[in-house]
Amino acid sequence: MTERSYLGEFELMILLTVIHLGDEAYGVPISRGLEVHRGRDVSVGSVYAALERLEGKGLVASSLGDPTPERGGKAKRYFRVTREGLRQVQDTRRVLKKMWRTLSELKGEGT
Amino acid sequence: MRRAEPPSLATWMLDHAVPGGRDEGLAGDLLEEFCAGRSEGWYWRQVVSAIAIAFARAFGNNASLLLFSPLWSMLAPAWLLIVTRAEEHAHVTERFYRMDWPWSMVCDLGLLMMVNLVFIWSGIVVYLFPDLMHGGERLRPIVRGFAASLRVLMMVWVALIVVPKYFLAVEQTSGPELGPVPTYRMYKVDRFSPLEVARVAPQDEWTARYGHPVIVTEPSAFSLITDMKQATVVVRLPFFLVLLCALWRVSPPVRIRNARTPG
Repeated sequence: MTERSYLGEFELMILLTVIHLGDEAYGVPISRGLEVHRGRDVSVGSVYAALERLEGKGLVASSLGDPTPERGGKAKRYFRVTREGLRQVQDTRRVLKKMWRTLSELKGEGT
Repeated sequence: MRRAEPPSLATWMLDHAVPGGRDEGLAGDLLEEFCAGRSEGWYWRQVVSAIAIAFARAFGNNASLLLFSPLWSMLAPAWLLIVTRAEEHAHVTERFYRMDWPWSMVCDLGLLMMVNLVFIWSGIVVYLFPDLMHGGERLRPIVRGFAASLRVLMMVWVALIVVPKYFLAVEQTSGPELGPVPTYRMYKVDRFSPLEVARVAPQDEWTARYGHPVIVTEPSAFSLITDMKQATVVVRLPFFLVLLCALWRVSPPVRIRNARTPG
């Protein structure tokens, strides 16, 4: 049996944001999406570090777009979630859902 | 009034101070956000944070060199002592002094550099030895490490030359020096380590120099390896710095760079 590693909180948030953004997932909208949902400032460097870690695990893939003048001639780096990444998101969701169900006293809080 | 361009120093740092080289996507994202109305303070915070994160990851990926560099540098004072003792018998530098200028200086500096490089290059080879045994790239990393160490060593020398206070302190405390240290200075310092052996220096030399005979202590190579007194630690620092930079060059931070342009 192969050993499974579950996603960390920040990694899961990033994967969900990348899935949500679809073809427009690059650093700026990913960071803004995380800021909106977490309600606090996000370091773009930490987002890239997490994305590179996820890429190393084969959960996301990246590709460079064309350089654009409004970005000083620098290309956007687009990210997309791989099939394995999608599977891990679903696994993590299933586990978390199961665990939440067992905490009956917290049901309905903040929802 | 807010500037149209982000702080140029921060941009320069992002381009040059990130281990593993600039990340074009990240640099472009920060610029895009700045142009969209983010403040200079925000830009600075992002740059500093990106550099700190990149360094933390790079150090995490290269923990072995962080362990190896200080350990190998611990041997530096012992190596210098061995060279000094060899020089007492060989008198190579005396031959250099008899040459005409600039050859005397060129040969003297050349010997000094060789002494330093032999120690550092040995460290590089020892560090890479396990990789070499496991069929990794053989020659290229070694050559890259040697070249990097030469560059950093030159920079360290220049830095020491342009900081005259360092040399004043050296003279006053009879302490650190980047090379074979003259016998009378090397032996005069350490009196407190139980591993050191007392000896009487050649009386004529000392009497001529100080006007009276002086009893000095002679450190053993082993005692210098474990010696943690300030002067000995300072001797190790340049070696540590050069070795760390050279090994960093040999094993660059692991970064994923498999992004492909479309088409």
